Amino acid sequence: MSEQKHGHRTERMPLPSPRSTRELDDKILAYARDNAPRQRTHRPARWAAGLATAGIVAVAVLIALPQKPVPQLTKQVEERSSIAQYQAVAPVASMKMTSPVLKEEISSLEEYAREPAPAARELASAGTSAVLDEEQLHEQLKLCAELLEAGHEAQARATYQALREHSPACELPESLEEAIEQDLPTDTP
Amino acid sequence: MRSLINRLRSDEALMQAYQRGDADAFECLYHRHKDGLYAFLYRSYPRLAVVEELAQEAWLGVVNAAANYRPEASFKTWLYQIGRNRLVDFWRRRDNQHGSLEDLPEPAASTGGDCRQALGERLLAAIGKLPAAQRNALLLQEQGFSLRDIAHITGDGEETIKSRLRYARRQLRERLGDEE
Repeated sequence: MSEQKHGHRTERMPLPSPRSTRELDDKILAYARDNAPRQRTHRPARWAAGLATAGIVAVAVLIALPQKPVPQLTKQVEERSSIAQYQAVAPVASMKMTSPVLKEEISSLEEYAREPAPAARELASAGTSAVLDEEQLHEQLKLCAELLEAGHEAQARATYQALREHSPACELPESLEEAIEQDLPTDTP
Repeated sequence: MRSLINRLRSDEALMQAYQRGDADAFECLYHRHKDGLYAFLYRSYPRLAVVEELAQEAWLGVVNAAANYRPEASFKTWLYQIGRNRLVDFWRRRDNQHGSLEDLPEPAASTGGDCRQALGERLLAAIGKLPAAQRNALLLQEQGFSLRDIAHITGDGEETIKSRLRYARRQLRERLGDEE
């Protein structure tokens, strides 16, 4: 209620001021008590207890379960370890590569490993079903012997192995040396 | 202890407490305003039996409308608005809305005691002869309401209330002067 303004309020008049009776007071207060707005009690709903229990159980399970690493994290760790290994090995590798003789040898070996043997190449071009006659077989063995003599032992052995694989009917001996020994005397006059 | 705390609370806080179901808060509020409202009703219509009825209706109206109470306006203004509405309803029932209290019998509370009481009775009789709107404005001002509050309670403009009060006082002076 705002205060009186503008000076319009004058002295109170001596008007009669009767008071309400006790009966009236009791009647009104009893009515007010009986009809008081209902107090809102914040009782938890029935499902609240269940929800709380479920929440606690879920948290407990999460804690109890063995911790699986996150896949992405694992990948990162692996990458980092491989990088570390590479960093540890790289200086040695670079040291080895500084030797020119070694470097040449390694490159020739790599080239050889990449390329199939000449006889094998011929055999592959002739087809796997190709059957070699005795003369052709003799020529191939001769080639292997030449390679062996020239110092290309690995190439000679690879060619002989290919020859054996593609000529199972010939029953070639296991080692190249045996085959040359059995074959070349007949060839040599 | 609780009643002591309630005594320190504002009308609006008490009413809001009652809205939450605190009946003690209402009791405190009732004791704070019951006599003022009762006197206002009596001065508007000096018949105790009728005043009892109107006061009861007004307070029961407060209880029934408690859930809808919003503390934007003061509780006292709201209470007297309800009280005045009950008074207007009563006048309508009596088909006497625009009339004065001239037809009413002498105030029941008149005991013819001391001089002050006699003056009060004379004053009340003079007020009873005022038009209802002027009488209402004058009696509400007597209850301590400002022009704005009276305008809010009666639903009229402040300037209208101001002129009603001016006319009411002038008439009262004239009537009491004539009686002298």
